[in-house]
Amino acid sequence: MDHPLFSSDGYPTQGVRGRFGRSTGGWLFAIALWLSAVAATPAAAQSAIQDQEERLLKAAFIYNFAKFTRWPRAVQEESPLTLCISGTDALVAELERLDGKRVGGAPLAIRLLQEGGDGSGCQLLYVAESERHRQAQILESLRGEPVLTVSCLSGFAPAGGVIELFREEGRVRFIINLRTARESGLELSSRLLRLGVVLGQQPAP
Amino acid sequence: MRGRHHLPFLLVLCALSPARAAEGDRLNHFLSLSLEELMAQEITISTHARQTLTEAPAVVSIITADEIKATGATNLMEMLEGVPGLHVRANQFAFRPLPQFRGANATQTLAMVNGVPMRDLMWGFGIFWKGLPVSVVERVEIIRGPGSAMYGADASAGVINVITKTAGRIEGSEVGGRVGSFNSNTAWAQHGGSWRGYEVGFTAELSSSDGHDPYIVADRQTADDPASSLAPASAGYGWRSEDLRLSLAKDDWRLLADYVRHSELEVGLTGGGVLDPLTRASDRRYNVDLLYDNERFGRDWGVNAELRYHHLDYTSGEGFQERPPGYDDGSVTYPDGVINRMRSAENRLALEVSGLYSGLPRHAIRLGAGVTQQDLYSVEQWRTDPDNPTQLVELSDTAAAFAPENARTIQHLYLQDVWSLAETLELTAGARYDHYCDFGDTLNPRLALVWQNSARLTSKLMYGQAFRAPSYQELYASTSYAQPNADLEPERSQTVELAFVYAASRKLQLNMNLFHFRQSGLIKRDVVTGQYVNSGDHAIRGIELEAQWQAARNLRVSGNVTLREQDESSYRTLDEADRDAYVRLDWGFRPGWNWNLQGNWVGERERALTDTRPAASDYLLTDTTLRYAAHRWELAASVRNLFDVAATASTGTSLPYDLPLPGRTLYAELRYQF
Repeated sequence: MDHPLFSSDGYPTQGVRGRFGRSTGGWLFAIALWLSAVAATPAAAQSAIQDQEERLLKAAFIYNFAKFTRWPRAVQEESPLTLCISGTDALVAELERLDGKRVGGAPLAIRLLQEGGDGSGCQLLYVAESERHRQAQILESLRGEPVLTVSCLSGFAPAGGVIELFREEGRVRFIINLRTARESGLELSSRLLRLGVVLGQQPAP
Repeated sequence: MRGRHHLPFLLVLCALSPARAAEGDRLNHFLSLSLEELMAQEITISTHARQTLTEAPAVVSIITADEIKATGATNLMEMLEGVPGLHVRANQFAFRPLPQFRGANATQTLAMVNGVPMRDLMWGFGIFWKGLPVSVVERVEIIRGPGSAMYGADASAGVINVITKTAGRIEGSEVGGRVGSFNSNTAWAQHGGSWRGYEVGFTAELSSSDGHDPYIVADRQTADDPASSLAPASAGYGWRSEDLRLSLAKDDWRLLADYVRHSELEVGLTGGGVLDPLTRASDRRYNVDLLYDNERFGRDWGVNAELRYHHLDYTSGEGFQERPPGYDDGSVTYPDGVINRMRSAENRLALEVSGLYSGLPRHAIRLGAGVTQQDLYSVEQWRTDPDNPTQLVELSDTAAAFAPENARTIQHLYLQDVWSLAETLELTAGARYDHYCDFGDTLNPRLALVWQNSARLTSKLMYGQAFRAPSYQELYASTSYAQPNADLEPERSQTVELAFVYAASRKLQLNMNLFHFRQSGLIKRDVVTGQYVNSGDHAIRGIELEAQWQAARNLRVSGNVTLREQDESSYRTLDEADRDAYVRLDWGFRPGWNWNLQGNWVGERERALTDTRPAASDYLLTDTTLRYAAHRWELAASVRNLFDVAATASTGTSLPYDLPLPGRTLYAELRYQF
């Protein structure tokens, strides 16, 4: 409580009649306090806040991907729905907040994979930016597995990832590799396909 | 109240704490949005592109479908009780749930479903308003504080906008059913998907209940003519409802069509507080809305357009039985009682076009204009003839009918600018002008300063004016209670608010709102002339404190406390508590399971100045729900009012012992998704 404008005896109780703030004194005081405190706070970096906003949005997108995907029956009926995370980046902390959120009937469980661990047994796998160089290896190890892979790494979808998130004109967009999705036995909702950029429209051989 | 002196400490603590964002709340907001809405979100801290209610410079709460499900609420109105500053008063007439914000009457609440106001011309939310079944609700956006600068009439103390499950918001199919106490039975079905390039949404719910039928020891009749009073007796509150909603969406267009019907509806007690076992009323409401929303209409322009048609009609059936058989008013004896049969219908047609211009750097300017026509017609009435008390006399199309068949036209125009003064400081200034063909003009401005003090703290300082247009009942209708006054002005209000959103840590978020709400020109019956007049003023001040704590991975605790103070006057709203509190616990103790426990405390319900009874008793209601989801099935069991507490809604003096609320109530629910 080192703020120069404030100390424990600095509150003008004389100005307060009745229960609270019947006079405007309490109000004015609160407002003055607020203004001074606000003025004393350095303006937070705009870009940091925007980045934060982008990450929260991306987390919400990934939550929605889980919502609008149907896994093969045996996997679909597993509960909880496991979102695994391979590697690390700033989005990971936001994804951890999804833990326990419900997707349809099932709660989401977040699992951080050990270094070098593969994503089998996961329904979703987020490939973080630190895995840039292992991307091909991870995708290869999951080929044909019913795992919805998601990443913000550029070139992820063309390289065989299911969904790649990217930013365009200040909005979050996503690319779907439909061929990989089909080969993995994942059924993506028509809404996802309508809203995303879809690669590999032709049916899988 | 020593504790309150710590308030400024809290404010300063909040403001001085260093940075990281109020993310949990923001994430929950994003999670409540549909994919399409997420796609439209601009990555910015300001509210430029699409000003949803959440981003609006106001005190906002969001309730999602999942949160509702966890509590076992069966009607949306039960859910609102947990919102700080919001209390749902049970009306003695038909046990109607009336949402009251911040100590004000429900007439100061604007309730909308998908942007359609529920208000009718005569009676408030429709004479047989019964809330909304939870199965159709996708999410609810609630603004505490004034909204007239954007939404027009009635948005004085708060705004509720319910977003239903429409095309593009639901995917797949669900069927479900619920059984419960008072012979309550509900079944629903819903589907969302694509059809020939259209997104399609459909929800249906059918329900019936015998009602909790509270025991009324003494009614108004007991005071007026005890010999003929039916009290003590139970007030029947049974009802049935059908709720059907169909929606289509393609590109920038959406079409919504809703049909809601209540039937076999028992009112229990008349508005005057007399037991009425006779009435079996019904009503129908349907609306068709065509909506166009193109955020990239031009280079710097987004355009919204709405064309809405809304119809409401009702009949009181064989009732209302205003007085029981044998009633003697001193000069006439009514062997069959006093019967008052009423029917009427109204249509509303509304068109609004608005544009959002973002061509000026640092400004987002929204300009909108619209016209609404509301038409009251088919006013029919039959009433017991005092000269021949066994006969009914028709009053339809006479000056004595309860309302004139009359139309009201409203034109409006609004302008709002969201101006980014600095990177973390945003000023919203706006005003709306409404022209009513009956009472004239009203202009309602608002001003809000939103300050991102640090990434942890956001502060908002807000001012707004609002109004409530006089209803047809007040302008034109002669009732047994009051005489109309065609010269009434709208009720007005001014609100000043100071709000803080503070992320104490990643697991704990705290909110605090202070408000001062002053109403003027309140419409009340003059005791001398018996006529409605714009008479007095009433001021309410308060603090709302909220906390959300993610105590552990699977354990969330949230709650709020509201403290209010108001003038001692005859304008004090019925059943409004000066203190209330809510706490909620959600525990996912095993995968697939959730246990919810919630408590609602209501305290210090003083009476209006003219009512000499002691304050209504405080109560604490506890509800608990256990829910289990596996594969495509979901099961839930709920107990509401777990401890069978004898709680009452405070009423006017016509019911001297107030209105008992339901005791312990059990529900079981099953749903299947495919």
